[in-house]
Amino acid sequence: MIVLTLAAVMTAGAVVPRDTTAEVRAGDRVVISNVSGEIRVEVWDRPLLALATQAGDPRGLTVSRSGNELRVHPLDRRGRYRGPDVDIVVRIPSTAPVEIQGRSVDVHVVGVGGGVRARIVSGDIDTEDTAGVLDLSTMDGKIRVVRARGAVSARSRSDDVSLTDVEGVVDVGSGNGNIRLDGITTGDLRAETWDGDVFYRGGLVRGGTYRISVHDGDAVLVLPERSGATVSVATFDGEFSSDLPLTMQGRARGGVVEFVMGDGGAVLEVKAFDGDIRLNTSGR
Amino acid sequence: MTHRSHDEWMDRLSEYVDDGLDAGDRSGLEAHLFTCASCRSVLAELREVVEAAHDLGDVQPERDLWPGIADAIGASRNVIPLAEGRLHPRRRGLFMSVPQLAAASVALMVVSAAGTFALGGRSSSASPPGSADGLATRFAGVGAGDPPPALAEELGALERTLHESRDLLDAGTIQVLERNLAVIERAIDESRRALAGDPANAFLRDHLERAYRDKLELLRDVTTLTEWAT
Repeated sequence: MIVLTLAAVMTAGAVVPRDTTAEVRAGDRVVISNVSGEIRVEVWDRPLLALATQAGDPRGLTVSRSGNELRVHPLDRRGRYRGPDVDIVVRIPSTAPVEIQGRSVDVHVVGVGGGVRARIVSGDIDTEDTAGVLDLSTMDGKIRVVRARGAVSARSRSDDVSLTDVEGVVDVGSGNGNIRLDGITTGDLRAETWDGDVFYRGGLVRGGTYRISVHDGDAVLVLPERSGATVSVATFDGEFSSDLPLTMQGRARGGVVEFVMGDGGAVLEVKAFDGDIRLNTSGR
Repeated sequence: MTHRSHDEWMDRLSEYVDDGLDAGDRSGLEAHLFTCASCRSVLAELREVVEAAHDLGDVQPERDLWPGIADAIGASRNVIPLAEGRLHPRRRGLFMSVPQLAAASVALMVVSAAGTFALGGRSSSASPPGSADGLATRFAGVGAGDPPPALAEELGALERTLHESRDLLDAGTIQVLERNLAVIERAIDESRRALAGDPANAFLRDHLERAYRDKLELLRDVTTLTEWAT
């Protein structure tokens, strides 16, 4: 049974916050949608979902349950919301997985440990201190992930994607933006952009696979001095340079050249259609 | 509605501008135009030309120009369309940097081998840059590089779905969609032309296929997103 409690109604100038709490059971998933405005998700150590609006008209904001889903969404009487921007703030238990949908919405998620799935038409997505699977996608906005453990899939169609201090599988892409991967610990990396640069700073794990592809832009990798990998590079209109010692294997085939670096323990493929490929050393 | 390949639609743009297409081709082409930035661009240029021609009106030459034209054709039968010249790619091949050249003996092996690659990479376009032969060779295969049949089928279906639901989308979403499609269409177009100049290049084939697949992903994403966003 759903427990909904109106905890407080306050007025502070133009801001009309409304606090609502709902029980979050083990196995529950929190689904939040918004048409325009913001969605902010925070965590606490109570088995409750707490909901507040910081801007906009909160009267249509609804919390409902369907099976194991707790849904938060703005609605009008016809089941759709056509009003002004709403900034939704939700506080949930850290273990609950979250799903977010929005049309023109900026998303901020902090501390969620159960994984996050976000699908936004237009708006930025920021996450910090998360664990579990992050599956993030925006058609028109930046994605920024800071301190994540688990798996990260992040795709922006027309802006930058940035991951900092991430541990786990990484699969990132941009249609028209740069990809910056800094402080990455992974054995499985895929990064692809059609118009922008890719920067990767991290190690290469023995047995790991690292695939980077750029259409119009440069690929720059900063690797530890003792990195080991079989390296495949290909470029149609670009140059390849490396600070790390490489030994070429055989002849170039089909536009691809293969090298061995160090013990050859990982697989590294870097391809740039129109751009340069650089392997730099981090000196460690 | 008629279904055709990208190149076939491109070839029909002129008839479209002249209102010479039947209803099936017209609606098929309009569906394709919705998702193809390069065709939209060519169409815009065609319309500008037509408009400019209308503005000129009918001007009768003061003398018979044919003899001069015939002479000119006889003097240079190897005509290169202007559009090809615009798309002349710059190919620098692959080589190692100066720091690598200065590195240990291992690097010497690499430099030697990389030099071999650079020569091999350029062998398919041995004519001097900008020469008629070079351009003709480089773009002889344009028209190749269509998506695999299964991909083409799904791309066509998604393009039609988007075309049919275009009126349901808000202006902002359409703008975002068109911008994103333009980027991937440009990548496809450039990859196709590169592959046409070097058909045996596995990297280019793979790159082009990934571009098609990414376009497919984009269309799927848009279809899914617009289902609930409208």
